[in-house]
Amino acid sequence: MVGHLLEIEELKGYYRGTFGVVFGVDGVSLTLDSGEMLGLAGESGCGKSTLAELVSGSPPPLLHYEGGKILVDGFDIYHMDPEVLRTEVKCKRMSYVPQASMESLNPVKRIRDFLMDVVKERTGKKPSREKVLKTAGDHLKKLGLESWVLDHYPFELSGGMKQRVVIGISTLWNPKLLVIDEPTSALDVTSQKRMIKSLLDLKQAKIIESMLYISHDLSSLRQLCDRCAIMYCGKIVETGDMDDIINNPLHPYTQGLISSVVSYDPKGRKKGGLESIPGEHPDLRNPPPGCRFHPRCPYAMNICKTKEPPVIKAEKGRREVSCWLHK
Amino acid sequence: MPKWEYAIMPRKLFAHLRRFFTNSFVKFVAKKVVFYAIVMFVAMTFVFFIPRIVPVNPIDLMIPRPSGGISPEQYAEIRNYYMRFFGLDKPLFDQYIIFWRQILTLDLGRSFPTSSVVSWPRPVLGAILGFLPFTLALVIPVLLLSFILGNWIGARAAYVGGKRSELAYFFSVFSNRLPCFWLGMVLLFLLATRAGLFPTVGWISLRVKPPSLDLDTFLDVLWHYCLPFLSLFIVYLGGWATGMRSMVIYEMDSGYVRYSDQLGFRKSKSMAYAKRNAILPQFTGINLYLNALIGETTIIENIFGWPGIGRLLVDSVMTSNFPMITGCFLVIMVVVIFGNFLIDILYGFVDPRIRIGRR
Amino acid sequence: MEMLELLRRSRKFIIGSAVVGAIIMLGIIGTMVTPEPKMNLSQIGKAQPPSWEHPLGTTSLGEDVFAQLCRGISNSFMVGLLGGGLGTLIAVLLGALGPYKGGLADESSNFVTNVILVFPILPMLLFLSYVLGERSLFTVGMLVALTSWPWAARSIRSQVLSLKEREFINLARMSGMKDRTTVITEVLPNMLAYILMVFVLLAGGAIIAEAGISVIGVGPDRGLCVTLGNMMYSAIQFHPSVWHWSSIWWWFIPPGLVLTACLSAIFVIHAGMDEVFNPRMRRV
Repeated sequence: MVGHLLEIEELKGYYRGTFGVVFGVDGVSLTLDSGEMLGLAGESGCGKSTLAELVSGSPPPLLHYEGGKILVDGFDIYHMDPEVLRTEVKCKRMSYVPQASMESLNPVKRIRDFLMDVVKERTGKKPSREKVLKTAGDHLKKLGLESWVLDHYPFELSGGMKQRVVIGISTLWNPKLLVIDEPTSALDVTSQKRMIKSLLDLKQAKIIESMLYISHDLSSLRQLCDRCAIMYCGKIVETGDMDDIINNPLHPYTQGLISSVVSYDPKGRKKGGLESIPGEHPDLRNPPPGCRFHPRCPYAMNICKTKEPPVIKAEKGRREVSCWLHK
Repeated sequence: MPKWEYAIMPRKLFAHLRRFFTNSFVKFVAKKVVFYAIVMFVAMTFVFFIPRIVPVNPIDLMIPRPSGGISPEQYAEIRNYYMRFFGLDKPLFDQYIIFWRQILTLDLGRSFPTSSVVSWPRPVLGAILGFLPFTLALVIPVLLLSFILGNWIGARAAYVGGKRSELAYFFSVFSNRLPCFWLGMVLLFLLATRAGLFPTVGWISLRVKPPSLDLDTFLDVLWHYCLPFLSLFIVYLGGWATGMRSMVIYEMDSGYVRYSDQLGFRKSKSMAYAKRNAILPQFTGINLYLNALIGETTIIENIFGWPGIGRLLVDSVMTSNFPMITGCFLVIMVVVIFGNFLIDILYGFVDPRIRIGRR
Repeated sequence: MEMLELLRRSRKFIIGSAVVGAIIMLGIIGTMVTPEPKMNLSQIGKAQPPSWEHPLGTTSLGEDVFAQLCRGISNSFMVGLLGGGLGTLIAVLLGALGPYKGGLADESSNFVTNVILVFPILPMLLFLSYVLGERSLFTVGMLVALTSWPWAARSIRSQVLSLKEREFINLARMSGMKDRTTVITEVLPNMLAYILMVFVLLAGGAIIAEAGISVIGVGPDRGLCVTLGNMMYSAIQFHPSVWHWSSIWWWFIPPGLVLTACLSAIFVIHAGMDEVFNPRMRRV
């Protein structure tokens, strides 16, 4: 079997600042194979975006890579020559679409000028203007954008358009892996549907091979992803196939998450009650000892309060769960 | 080109121009024109009314008191004559109308005999225009050069980071806090008198040959120009550097710079993006700096004996040269308003959000 | 009052305040301790370089420079307090109440502020000084306040506008409180710290503006009171040329040094307070 496209092992990334140390990502292990769409779900503040920023190779100034292994298509991105990282890995093998895509475009440059800059920076030489605009225009059409978008400044476009422009630019070189962080949070429902459809189209048109899709919106995860990983308090608590997780969640947190989503049966009636998980997400500066979910867990045992549960591989499929219940 | 295309060429041109300067930009310019016209009007009215409200009448300062040779009746007669001559006997509103008429015909009156710098009856406008180029020669280069160099230093300090950046920050803050007149005095003390490198006063050396337009004279004036220029330049350089450094550091954290990094931009190109966005708010700062600079140039001119408007204004104030004070203040206001207007329009042009407007 | 707590911990704020406090102490205590500077026109008294008897030397008129400096500091700070205080008052009136009411009041106060903002401060000060004739500390302080409030009004206005949008104001309004009450009980406590910062900056600006016009000679009458700017003016005035006054460097250099130190300290205070108000500015 060919090696994994993305391999993360015991990754640690902390924020260090005047506020102290925040344990954003504290020992995360994941694998992603080519052709696979992996979803990453969890509450706000659990560390999903932190993980995405670490995978992207350019973490923000306060975030520090503290240890662990990240291999993107065989490249160890934190122990390699930054120049090779810039030319070979970024955009070609892996591309990152950040969370607030609206802010990701330079406000004083037209889209087409920004595009020319991107191409010039990546290829090292000045390309022909018509060729770039034509290629980009065709590419953006696949995402549902007209070519007039290129002539405008970012502030003249709507939020959904800007998001799709950013996705378009990130996928220009057909990266194998697209890491996309909460693309639907800032959009209305119609735009969300359009966005999900665009992402599926990208996969179908073989522009991207695999995707790491980060969201807290379980419904979009369900439509897009084959596998899913649930994250809580800087650690992965469960991974598995999407349908498995939805129909048979093993970890108490996953169970809480699934049951807190509104679901309707075909007749339009609400199915089941709306339950929420009691308590609050812990402060990542001071995570609870032992299993991090134990203060909110209905099944907490004594061992959960003191020792961290190991990763247990469940019966069939690529199921993993971190819970003492399944030992 | 077929003949019929010539007919639609001007329309194409017009369409082009219209697309380039869309409606919102024209509206922006129009709003600024109206605003500055109002400011000018307010300033003129202010200049007119304030001195006339005060009980001290400049004529009284000019004519000798009735002691010794003159009797009170003769004194009154002389006083009335001068009042009529300078138009100060008419009711206030009439004076106001005359004031405006004079300004619009560019007749600012004549200088009082009290002045030590400008002799009577030299016309005020002529005198001011003779002094104005010297002030502009200080103000414009200081503003432009400190802007360019200061912003470059600030951006570079933000880019490099580390100990050198902290040092640069410290120095720029310190130099910005220096009172420019004191810096001028210190420079005079160290470089002019102790080291003898620069001249101490005036704009040109005293010589036998009268000044003429040749290289020699030019270099001499430049030599005299250095210290006043430096006293202002250093202070403003610090100001720009401090501001730009903060702006660039702020922009470096923003979404589009990080996204450019993630797309694989070289660091220098990402920084260029940050700088380009950071310099936009600095343009609005130029207005405030220009207004402050005019004032500080006034002080510097007095210390160095540089013959600019500031020197003229102070001399007029000291000698109660009434028309000259009014004239100087008006000209300074015109320069300030014109400069502010130009900068505002330039900024509107440079920032695409204003140039294009929101659709 | 978490603001006060954060301020107390801010290193910049503490250092800046300490320096300013030290200078003020020097002014007050120095004035009390040293004798009134008397003119001593004898050959030995005039223009002496620093010595044990006169720590900063004597002026061309034989006065002790150190004693003059202490009195100058006190007077300059008085001008700063007066100008800063009055200016802040005007700025708060025009900057805070206008946008809070909204509508015509806001538009008109904003317009007035913008118009006066264009006027250059120093020429205006000169002009007004001439017009008023008499030049005491009080008049100078007032004039400085009258010419420097627009900038502060604009800052306060933007701060009030951003505060206005915050939830607790809307909550108070919805619960039926009158506008005036809302302003006093909800807006002002948050604004107090910001107004303090504006006051500090205005006071610093007032000190240097007064020094500026004093150096030209249009400042407070030297006979009435001595200020830092006055000292520098006298240093230049009592000598026919640069060659003469630059040899008495101990007369004009100390006031400028004190001015620079004072302004730098005020900047550091401002930077510290800025960090407290804008969490974004807090770096590692």
